[in-house]
Amino acid sequence: MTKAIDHIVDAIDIETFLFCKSEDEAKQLAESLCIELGLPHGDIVFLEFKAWGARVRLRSYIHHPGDHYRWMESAGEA
Amino acid sequence: MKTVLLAPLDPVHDNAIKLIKRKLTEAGYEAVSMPPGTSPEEVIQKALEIKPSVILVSRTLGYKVAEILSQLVDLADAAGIRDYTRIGVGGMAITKEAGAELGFDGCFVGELKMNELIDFIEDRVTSGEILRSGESVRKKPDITAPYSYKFYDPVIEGYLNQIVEQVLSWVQNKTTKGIERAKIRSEILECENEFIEGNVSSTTRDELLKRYIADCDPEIQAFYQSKQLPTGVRWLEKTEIDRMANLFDTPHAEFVGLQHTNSKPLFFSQYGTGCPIMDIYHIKVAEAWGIDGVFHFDPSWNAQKEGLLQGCLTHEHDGTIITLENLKLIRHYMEPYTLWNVRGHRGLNTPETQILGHAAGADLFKINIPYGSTGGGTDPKRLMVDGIYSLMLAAQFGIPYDIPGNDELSGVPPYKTFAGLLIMMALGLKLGARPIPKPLLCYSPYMTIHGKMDDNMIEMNLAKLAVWRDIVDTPIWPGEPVGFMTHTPDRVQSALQTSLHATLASTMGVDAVTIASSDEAYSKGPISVQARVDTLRAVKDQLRFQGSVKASLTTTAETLKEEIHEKITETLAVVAQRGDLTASIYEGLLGSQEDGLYPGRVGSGTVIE
Amino acid sequence: MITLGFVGTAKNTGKTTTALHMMKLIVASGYSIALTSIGYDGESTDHITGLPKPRYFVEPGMVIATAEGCLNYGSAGYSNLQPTGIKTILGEIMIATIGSPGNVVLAGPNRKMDVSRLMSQLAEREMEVTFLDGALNRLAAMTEADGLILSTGAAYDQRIPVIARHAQALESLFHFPKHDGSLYSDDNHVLGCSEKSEKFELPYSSVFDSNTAELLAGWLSITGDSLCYVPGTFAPGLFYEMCQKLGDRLQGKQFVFRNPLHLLATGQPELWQESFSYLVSKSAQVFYRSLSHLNFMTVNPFYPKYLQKTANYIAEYVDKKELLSSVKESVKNTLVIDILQPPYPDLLELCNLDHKRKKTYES
Repeated sequence: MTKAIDHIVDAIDIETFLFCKSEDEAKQLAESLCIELGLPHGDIVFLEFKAWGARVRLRSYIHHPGDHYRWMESAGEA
Repeated sequence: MKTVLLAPLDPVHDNAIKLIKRKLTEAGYEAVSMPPGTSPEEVIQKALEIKPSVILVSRTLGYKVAEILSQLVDLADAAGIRDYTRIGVGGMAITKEAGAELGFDGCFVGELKMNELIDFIEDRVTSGEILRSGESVRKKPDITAPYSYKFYDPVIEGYLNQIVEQVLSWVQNKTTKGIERAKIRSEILECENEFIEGNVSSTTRDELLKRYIADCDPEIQAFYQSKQLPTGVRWLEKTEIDRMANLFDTPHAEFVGLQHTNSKPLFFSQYGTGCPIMDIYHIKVAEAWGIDGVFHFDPSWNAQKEGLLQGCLTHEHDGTIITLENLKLIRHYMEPYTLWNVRGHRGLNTPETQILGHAAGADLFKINIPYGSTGGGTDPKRLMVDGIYSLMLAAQFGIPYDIPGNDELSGVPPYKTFAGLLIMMALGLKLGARPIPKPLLCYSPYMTIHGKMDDNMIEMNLAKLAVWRDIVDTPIWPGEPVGFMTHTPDRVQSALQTSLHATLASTMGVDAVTIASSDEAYSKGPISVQARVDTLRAVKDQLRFQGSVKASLTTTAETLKEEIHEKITETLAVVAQRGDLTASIYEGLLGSQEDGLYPGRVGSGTVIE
Repeated sequence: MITLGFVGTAKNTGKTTTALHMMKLIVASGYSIALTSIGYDGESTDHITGLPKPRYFVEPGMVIATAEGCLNYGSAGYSNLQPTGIKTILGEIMIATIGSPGNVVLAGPNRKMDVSRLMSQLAEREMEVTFLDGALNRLAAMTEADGLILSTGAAYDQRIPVIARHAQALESLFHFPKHDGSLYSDDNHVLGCSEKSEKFELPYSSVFDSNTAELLAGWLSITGDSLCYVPGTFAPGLFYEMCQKLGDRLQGKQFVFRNPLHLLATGQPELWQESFSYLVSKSAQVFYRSLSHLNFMTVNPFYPKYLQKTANYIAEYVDKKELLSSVKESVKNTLVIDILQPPYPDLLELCNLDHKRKKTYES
């Protein structure tokens, strides 16, 4: 049985807002969030910090171009 | 004429310097620029020759680049230049802290803002200066100040005068428990001030509270008598409240509004997660991202019971409970320039809501009798009495009131809604208050059914705004929010619709706009803070895109405008003829059952004559 | 009040580590102490390299002068806040007494004239010792310090011989005497005065271009014994060339510079050392209008190494024993130590402070 995460065609984005007191802290938190959520090689696509928080978009690629796409394998099985 | 020396220390890139040079020259400064890759010594030599008021340096910060920048500062100090010249720095990765470490007098972070640069050159308090929460150079504007409220349409004015006379005569000798409680609340507030000063005994307060409780519904009485809270409501703990003091202590640059080329419109958003603490955080984020004002959204049950609770209360449902303590807590953390509206346009506590709002520092009231007594669910007779009293309070306190036109959402045609808004305006003006009508820019059922927006959403919305300019000299504040019923749960689409509607309104020179978050169409939970940021950023960028471009009406829009104008007049004629505004609301003259509007029932039979 | 300035040859050379060490010694000796910085000190990580940085941990009774914007960056509690009227990027500088212990971030005045103003205010509060933490390689603002502690190391250059040579040249510039004669009070122009009272004035306080240097050289070449006063600074390359051109005509000339730090601000102490050696060999003299005293020097083997692959910095070190011995060998007239490699002599004594005072703070 395939996992839902395998059906992600390429990337998963997390759009959120983090309470923090500096841009540095925002970056650290964003990076930690990817790890805490178990997302491989998370990257900060967008981060804007103002005064007491940061608007953040994180991305983790589940399938890269050139990979064997698990979502194709499940389609084949279907 | 002040001289500014511009020094690109980057070996290749000097685009920013070239741009700054042009803008400074246009602003009347003598801007002298040096070529890219200028060395610190060359900059100092030039500064010795021309004795500039300011040196502006640009360079991308990186390892070992810091030493080059600090050497420039050091040489300037050694050469005695810093006795008469101030030095600013900007560039990629430059932060205020880096600027301080490098020894600069000014630091320009991120996108180029000419007003900050010029403030620096003129050595005055700059919007880029680090401030604490509560400190600001921004002023709180008065939306109504530039307007005379002169009517340009004598026919409409005539009908409105008739209606106003009738209403004010009708309301004589009528009162409600809501009004009586509002009066008692005023006395309690006055009494509490005097109690603190030791001028009055606690017995007086207790007696007033007893009288207040007597006029409340049983659930509210149970709260005062046995501290019984409604289901799902809890007290905020002192530790939770105290902890807030540390949240917003970060010094920061002055928050800049969303506006690009004009000071108008002001942008408002609503809050009301249910928890004052969460609300405060949302408001602070909205302020940081450029909002000019916010308004308080309370839960519907709050308005449906006679009497209001007290204390710092939180709950998990939509809308934050109106208590004086909640309102004061929320106001305490706002920036001093943020405009604040406490919503009291429907329900059984409207006069008391205005009293508490005023006591907590509200800048605006919200009063609309026709809408509040139909879409808002309150009995028209009850709200007529309460609403007139609320208008009197607005006049007494000198606080403007806005009039939301959200009855269109039920299916009411805009001309009927606008007739209602005009009646509310005239009533308030007669009593000495200052109104702000809020035509709703929306994809309403009326628009859908009658195909008024089949081709585009621009012409009808422009017509709805333009018609006001033909009728009366008044501020206009589209909302709330604009783009209602165009949003979907998709964040990009939602933010886009908000920004398109908001900026369309701005091309018509409106004074304020209420905007939604990108969670507007999501109903399964409270608005998220990231959703607020989404639309603030979208609106800001859209305003940048369109700049000073103004809209002009197409032929179709002109025709639509004329139609609306004509039908407003017809509607007002019928209401004036009827001679009884309350009856007019019951009978659907300002929005019928066929339009999708039903008179409210909350508070039915509670008017005391 | 004694002001100690902590300066460095580059970022990350160990200024703050040295200052923290000295702070412990001075506090233990019972002196009242005020802390400030001409840069930005006390943050937990370096904002360029992201590597951890030493933090200022302060105790009740100490005094700090920092920008208002930084007061809440640390965990210390304050009382008795006093504005100074000195504005910076991070807000007005406030003098605060520490009420409860914790970390602080110091961001003080960055211009010479503001440093002077702040020192006066701290002296009025009867502070006994003030620390003036430096910033990167900035020196000119440190002329207010009574004594300097200079840090160098691998963050300046990873080659030990280069560090040693640089340190030696730098240190050598501190050993010229003070000029006792009367000079023009005008600090806006390079001034010349011959034995025959012929006067000469350049348009600027400093020399950074060859035309100006040639004008000066021209005048010096036709006057016999004469004095040249440079209130600002001089591009070292141009000075060197001028001296070479003048050659034997340098005999009897006196060159008076404002302060050694004004020369060091130009960043090429080796060239200055060479120029001054040449001058002396030609029977010319070098003086300073005011002196800065170099109490001692420290070396630090640390440097941040950039890794291309991961796009971040890591901490790296050169051989610490070799670094210390090389620099010690090169710098003859000033004590050189590694703060993290004791033992070393009495550092307080080197700063004209003694251990004997016992004074408790009021909290």
